[in-house]
Amino acid sequence: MPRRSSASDVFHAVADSGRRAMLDRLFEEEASVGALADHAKLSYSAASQHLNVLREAGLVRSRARGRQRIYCLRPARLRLIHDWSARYQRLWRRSLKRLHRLLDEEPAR
Amino acid sequence: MILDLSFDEHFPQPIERLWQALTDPTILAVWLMENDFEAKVGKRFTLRCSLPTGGSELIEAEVLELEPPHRMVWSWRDAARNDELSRVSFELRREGTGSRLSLRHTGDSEDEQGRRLRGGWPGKLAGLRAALARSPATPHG
Repeated sequence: MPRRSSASDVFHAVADSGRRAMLDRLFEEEASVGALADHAKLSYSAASQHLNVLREAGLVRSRARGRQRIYCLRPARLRLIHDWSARYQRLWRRSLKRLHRLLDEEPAR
Repeated sequence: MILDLSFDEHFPQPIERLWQALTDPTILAVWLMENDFEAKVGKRFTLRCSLPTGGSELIEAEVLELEPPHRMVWSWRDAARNDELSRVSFELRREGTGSRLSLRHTGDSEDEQGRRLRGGWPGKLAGLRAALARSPATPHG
């Protein structure tokens, strides 16, 4: 069993532009290591290493197809990033609403 | 960039009052969170609030830039969730007899090279939402 990856693994994994390029490609459809390497303009071995980081963060999984390894996204893990954004969206919306109310109620000094 | 939120708000109050509401710890506590903020570059402070669910939110922040009454920038990290470091900027300007606040909260994890290479992540979040919609409850595996 792979160790359970944490939120910070996910953030670390998407902090690299090469890995993001590969994730972008995988948003469209599953792909082989070679296709992902081409898309991210990386060597095959660099792409493989980046894919390991993504796999350890739980963002992608792979399966064998003939002699190739095919990668696909695991969207459930990416949800962490989406939630991160959605949480702060809510926080600032609510806070700004309170700020408006506060300034409107406060008598001018 | 994996986090990029912006808010643009008009306030009928003058810029000085808006600035005060952003930088007075007592007023900040009313509209944002309890804090030990001080309007001083380099000041490390925490923002905390209790959640209705019982837990609490604990943000570790630092004042990075301060130009009264026009600009303030904080670093921001959610200590409880071990999030990436992010950045909150407040830009204020006069607008008629009132003022305008532009607030941006951005993830900081993108390196310069990445920024040059690619257009940023807001569009990718749309892709992500589409991917999430396609597979509502993906089991781990």
